[in-house]
Amino acid sequence: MSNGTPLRRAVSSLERTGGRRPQELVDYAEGIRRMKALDADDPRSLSFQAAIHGRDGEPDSQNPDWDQCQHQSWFFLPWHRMYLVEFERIIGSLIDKQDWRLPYWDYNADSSLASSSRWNVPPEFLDPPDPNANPLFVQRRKTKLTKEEREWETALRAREFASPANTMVANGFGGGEIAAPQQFGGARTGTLEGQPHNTVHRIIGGLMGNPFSAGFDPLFWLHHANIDRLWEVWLKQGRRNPRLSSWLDTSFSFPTADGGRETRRISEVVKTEPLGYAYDDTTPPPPPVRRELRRRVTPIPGPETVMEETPDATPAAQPELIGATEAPVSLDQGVTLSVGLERPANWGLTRRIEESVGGLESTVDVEAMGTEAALEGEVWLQLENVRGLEPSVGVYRIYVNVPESEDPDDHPELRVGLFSTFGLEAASAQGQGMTQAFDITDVARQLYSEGRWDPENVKLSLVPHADVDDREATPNEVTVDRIAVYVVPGQ
Amino acid sequence: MSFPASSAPAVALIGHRRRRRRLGRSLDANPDRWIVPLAVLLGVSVIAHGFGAEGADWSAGSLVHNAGHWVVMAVAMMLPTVRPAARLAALGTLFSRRRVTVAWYVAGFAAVWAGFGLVAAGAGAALPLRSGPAGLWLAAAALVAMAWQGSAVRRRAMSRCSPTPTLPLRGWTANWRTITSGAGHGRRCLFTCWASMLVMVASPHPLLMGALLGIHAYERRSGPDPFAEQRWRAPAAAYGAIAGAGAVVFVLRVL
Repeated sequence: MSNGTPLRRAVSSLERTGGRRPQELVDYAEGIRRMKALDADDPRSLSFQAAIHGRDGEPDSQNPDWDQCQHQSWFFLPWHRMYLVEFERIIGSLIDKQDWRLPYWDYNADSSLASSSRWNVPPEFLDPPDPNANPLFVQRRKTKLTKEEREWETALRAREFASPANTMVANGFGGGEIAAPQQFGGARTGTLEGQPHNTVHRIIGGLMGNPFSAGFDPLFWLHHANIDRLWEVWLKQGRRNPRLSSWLDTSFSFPTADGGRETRRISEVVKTEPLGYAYDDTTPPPPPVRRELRRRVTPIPGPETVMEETPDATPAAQPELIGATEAPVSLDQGVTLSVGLERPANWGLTRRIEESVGGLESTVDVEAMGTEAALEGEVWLQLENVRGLEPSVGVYRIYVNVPESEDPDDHPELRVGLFSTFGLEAASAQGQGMTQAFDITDVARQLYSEGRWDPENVKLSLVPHADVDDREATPNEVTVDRIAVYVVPGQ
Repeated sequence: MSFPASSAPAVALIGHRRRRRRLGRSLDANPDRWIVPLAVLLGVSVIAHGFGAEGADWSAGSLVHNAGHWVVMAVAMMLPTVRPAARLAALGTLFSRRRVTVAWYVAGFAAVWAGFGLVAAGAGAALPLRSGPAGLWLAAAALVAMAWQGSAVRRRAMSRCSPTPTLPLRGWTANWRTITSGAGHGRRCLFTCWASMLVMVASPHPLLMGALLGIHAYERRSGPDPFAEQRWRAPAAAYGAIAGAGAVVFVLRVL
């Protein structure tokens, strides 16, 4: 308990003395067993609870509680928080332990403190491998996560909760701003949802690999408890939730353990204690350290004068697109392509060159200045409108400027993130597909300082990382409308 | 800094250039800034015209006159709905192409609604709207709009109404794709809102135009969730009220 509030604890920290199963997981298994035994139309049954997240096929309007999960928008985190709270209470009610709290799967624990088993699926979910004897077991899960697959620090770097509706870059922590809830394909994937959320779903695979079956896997709930905890961790870094009423006043409704309904506004769930739980550990990671930009040209003096003369002519806070692919790209079995970047025009740079140095332009490396102006801020690579049905590749690794004829696997330092196809089919059917952005600032600065960053020829490689599990997947083309590069002013 | 008196024209010219450049860069930063004022301007002209002798009467004026009226009205009513998508399209292009992107996107979008305006004007002239019982056409059109408002097909269409276009960056390919993206947006918008404009075909009165703009504004504010019933009930009720008003007019005329 923390100030009397029951704690959700790390699954790896639960007491396992003498080889005994932790009591929390014994209770959880019993709760799942009882949920499975209920009729499917009982809102407390596992079948019904999983259907709240999503059901296979077209959205079903027969039951307004089904197909309600929120992904790829700023409703992702609050919706799943409410969902978990009611699930937790149903378990507590079924096992008659009202203070039982869902453990979280702490795959993101610090490797120097954790045993490697912490990154594995907890043993209680694997052994015995018989769904009748072990309600926590399901078949066809992958059982381990590599360090790359469980990477989470990058997500927590995001400065803002939401990517505003009037900007293109999906660099918000919790997803893109949209006017009203939409299950899939509404906007842009948040950094936390992209990785580790989507990645872990797709890597673990099995029921977890598809949003329309994920809720059937007991591990799903522990995974989401960790995602919910990482929201708290992000806030602990001094970040803020949105203050817009279009977010705070949006409400979601869920069936409750006592047969009633609970409708809550998001403003009622931004803190966990009023919901009856807290986390045992919300320590933020060390503050991110940006790689420094090693300049090659001396900044031209005089921007203050220009800014003073034309205060609204250099709205430096706007992200700006500086390059993109010209035609849709097929990703299915991976792709390598080049993108040419332009110097950012919106940052007063051109005016500085025109007005401050004038005739000196010929003596100034304008292109290098443009590149440095871009790298002074953040550089984001964005996959826009990725579409596909039942992709045969679950996750892609994304690299920048892997040398010609070399294996990307030999260059982990050039990897900028993983793109998971979790939810791709639904996003393609219900909307424009998935849009997700990756912060490539550090890699770009490193390459620039080494003289390996040619803005006219930035090479991007998307490499299949992990096949889906042993499901019979029919290979289908995965396409991305555009791969774009944006610069975003730094702080 | 001070200048000798003789240099005043040169200073004025420099000041003029700077103001133009400032305006240009301001429009680059907010390239959608002109859309709503234009819609308001067109709307005011429609309303001013509509309250005159001919505006709300299909039998008055030539087909060309009515067509012109309709094109302006349809474009004025729908322009505000395209602003966010046009802005996003522009922010997703190179800085130097932002203004032209908004212009082409809006042109593609407006062309679809102008086409609808022409068809509506033709329908208004061809159908016996004037000779039929007053108010009944309006009531019927509003009932169709109410039924369409609540349909699952429309609610799904609504969620796809405002896509985020991803455009090529250069040349006529970029221009053409921008136009077709705007037109595609217009088509989806037309599919979603045709029944609403049917009400205007039945009775193109400025007061109805205001009411429909209010309904559209409410919908935009409440969002595109295709599954949330509460988000379409209020607009459907508004159409019901319009149908009721049409029925009342009909009854009063008959009595």
